[in-house]
Amino acid sequence: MLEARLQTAALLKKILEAVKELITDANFDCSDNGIALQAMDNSHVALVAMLLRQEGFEPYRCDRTLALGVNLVSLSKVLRSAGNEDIVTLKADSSNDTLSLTFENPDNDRISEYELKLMDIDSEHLGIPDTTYDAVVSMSSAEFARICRDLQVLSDSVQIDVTKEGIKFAAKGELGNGAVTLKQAANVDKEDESTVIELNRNCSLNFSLKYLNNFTKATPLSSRVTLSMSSEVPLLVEYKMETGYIRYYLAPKIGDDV
Amino acid sequence: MHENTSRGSSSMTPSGLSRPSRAASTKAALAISNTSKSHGSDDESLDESDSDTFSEVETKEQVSETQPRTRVAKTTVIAATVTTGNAKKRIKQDRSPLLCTSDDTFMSTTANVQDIEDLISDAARVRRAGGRHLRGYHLFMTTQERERLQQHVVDWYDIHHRKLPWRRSFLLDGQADVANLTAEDGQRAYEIWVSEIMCQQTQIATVIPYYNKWMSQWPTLASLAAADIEDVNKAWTGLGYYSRAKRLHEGAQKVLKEFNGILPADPVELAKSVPGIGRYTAGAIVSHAYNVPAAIVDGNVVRLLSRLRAIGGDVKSPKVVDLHWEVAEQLVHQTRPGCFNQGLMELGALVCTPTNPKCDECPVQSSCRALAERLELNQSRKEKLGASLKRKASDLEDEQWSGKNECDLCLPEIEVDGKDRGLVTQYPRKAVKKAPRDEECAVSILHRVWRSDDDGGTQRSEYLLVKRPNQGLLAGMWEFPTVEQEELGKEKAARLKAKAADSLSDYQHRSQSSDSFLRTRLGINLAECCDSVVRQDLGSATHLFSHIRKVYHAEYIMATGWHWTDAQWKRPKNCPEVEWVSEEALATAAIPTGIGKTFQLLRKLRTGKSGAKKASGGASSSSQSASARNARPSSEPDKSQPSISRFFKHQSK
Repeated sequence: MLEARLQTAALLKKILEAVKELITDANFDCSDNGIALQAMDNSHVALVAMLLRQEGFEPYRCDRTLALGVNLVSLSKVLRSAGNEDIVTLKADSSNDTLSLTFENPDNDRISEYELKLMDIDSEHLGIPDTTYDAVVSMSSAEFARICRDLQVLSDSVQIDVTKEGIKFAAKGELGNGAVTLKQAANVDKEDESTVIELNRNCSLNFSLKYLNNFTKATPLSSRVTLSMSSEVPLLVEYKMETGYIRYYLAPKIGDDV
Repeated sequence: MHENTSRGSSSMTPSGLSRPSRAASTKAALAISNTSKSHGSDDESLDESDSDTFSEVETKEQVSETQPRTRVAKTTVIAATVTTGNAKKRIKQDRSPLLCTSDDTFMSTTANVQDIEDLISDAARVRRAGGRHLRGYHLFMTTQERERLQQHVVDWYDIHHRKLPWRRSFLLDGQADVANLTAEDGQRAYEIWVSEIMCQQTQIATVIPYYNKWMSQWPTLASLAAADIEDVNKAWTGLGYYSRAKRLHEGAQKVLKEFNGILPADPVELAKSVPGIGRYTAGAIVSHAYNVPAAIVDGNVVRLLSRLRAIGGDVKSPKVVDLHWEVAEQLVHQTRPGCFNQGLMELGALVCTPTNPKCDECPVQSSCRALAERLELNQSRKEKLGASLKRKASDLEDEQWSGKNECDLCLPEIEVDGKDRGLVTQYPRKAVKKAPRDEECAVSILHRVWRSDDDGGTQRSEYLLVKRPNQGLLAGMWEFPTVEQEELGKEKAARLKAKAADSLSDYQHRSQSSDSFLRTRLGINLAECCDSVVRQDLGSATHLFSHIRKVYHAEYIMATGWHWTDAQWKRPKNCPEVEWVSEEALATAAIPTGIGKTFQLLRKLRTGKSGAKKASGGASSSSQSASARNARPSSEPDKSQPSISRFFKHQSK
């Protein structure tokens, strides 16, 4: 039995926006810790891992673990009928193969109830090892989104170079090439916009811009994003929320002439 | 520094017009003697004056040949060249299709055959000795060698130099009267000076209009000295490196005041007393303007000389730079130093270019060791594939080198980027940048909390800073007490016997090292100086220096109830300067970034963010084998994009 009440529907909506481009179906794994989701995209190139800790809900109750197989497109359609400020209550029961959603508006004078059919998803759960990354870059998420969007015009892959001076995104394509460099921690006053680099080793890696652009769909969830990189290890793009996170993993492209 | 430009290259013909006739006749003889083996009958009519035609014929052959690597005529010429030098049984191999890179030909057309032969046999000796050679290999040992090169350079320069507005001095005949410089001499020197300063870091083509404008604005040194610095900077706008303009201006004022407006003719004095003039510019001014025999070495000259003399040392290292200066000084033309020096630079800029040097147009190819080495290598490659050779027997033994002046500057070939091996462009060499070395150190953030009697017993909280030695890395900066790697290492060695798998990152070991450091170097005995001590491992922070990757292992030591007074604290003799500072002062103190990072670790710990990184085992998870279970999606557009499941293991649910 799951019962979870979320103060604003906006959070759930944003999460759906952040993942539905990459994955169509996924299991929401509910346990007494909270609600988690892990899935690969269709082509098994990227991995999404999301966690909403139980502290984020009031109240939260889950007496035994549940895997709710949800079609994310359907869920986001249903969520569209909720106002941003609505209070959402999720309910599910192991005996029942539906997820029930209740939206109450802030004035508490409009209540809508939906039931979404669940599906059986044979999910492949991947173990993500603890990794010490060569470079961990924390930067403005809006800036990251903008860079990925701007460079997409030129190429479908981007080379990310991290040195202690800064992080450089460079794209080469048929119509030309371009690069954006952000210097480390230049701005003390605007902490949200500063770029902070923790570096063990310089690194230079190539990634698919299409996927990175997909990841930036999570930008509304957090003003900051963290890029963690090591050579020959998937990139970790993390958006931290108050009571959870959404993490994307993407393997670097092979070959230097990408 | 004159930048390379491509100008003039097209107009160049294989020179050697002024070459001694010996070369030409040898060459002709060789050509004729070998044409019996070649297939073209038109070669037979060659004589000296046709040498250019000969090269054309060869070029055509190269194009028309179906197998590009078997140009018989060329092969024979070169093989014969070597044969006469070494008197070995090589003549049989002259038809081998393996020798003959496309430019072996020009030897027959332009070079002084005997000279390059000598260089080739030198190169062979060096190679057989495994690359070992005497220092003299890099010098021009005989007067004959020097004069030949000087002659070639000056002759070439007379014909091929670029006409530049400041090259009036070219016409200068003989040395200026150094003791009695005229205003005319001074004017020439001023022009050269301005041009040299402008040419630093800037392309000649860019410089010309600026130079002309400058000269119309301040035609003499005196007028420049009287100019307003604002105007000078304005005239410089667009050239960049504005300090050059400022120094020119300052220099002009100084020369006007101290040297009566005429730049001195002594390069040493010039470099010493005029701002903005260094060893190179001084040499350029005195040699170009006054025809004083002074050497100059700029980037172009370095390249040229390192190839001519096969100088394989790292061109960035001071010893190798000195060697280049030594060679240049040895070479400098006594009567026409200006033309010779400019000729060297011009050759470097136009012919001996960084990539694709035009060896077949080069007037000094017969003095070029790099070229000889290449030819010799080609020759030996052919040999190795041909008859068996007893090379090893002729190897020089170690003792044969003892007592001789062996060159220790040249880098072993393995340390050089491999792509140019065996080519002229392998010189000048740069050392491969070494990866930063790893270093570890143990940092103790000693925090004392105490009540001072002076100001009413308020609680004081302070951190101990120690001043680094005045030499070495981060000299004179303040840091937390730090045990450097060597000291950690020493202790480790002693401990190693007792404890097998000890590691520098082992906290216990570190805190013991820190303890003994505090006790012996700073005289702090933690057991005595305070009421209680709390110690905690903070994990580690990494900082990258240009040449070191330093890992700071940090430990937090909080000493509460500190009761030692300064008098009680008996510091040992070699104790560095120490100071207790408050946390606020720490934030503004000039401490190195790496040390700052350790303090950040402490901050993180306090704010409960558990900032200390988990030291997880393998950083790379790629060792996990790719899962075969995972079917590749049907429409995979990008082959360069690996699947994520190659990196992360599947888990059964």
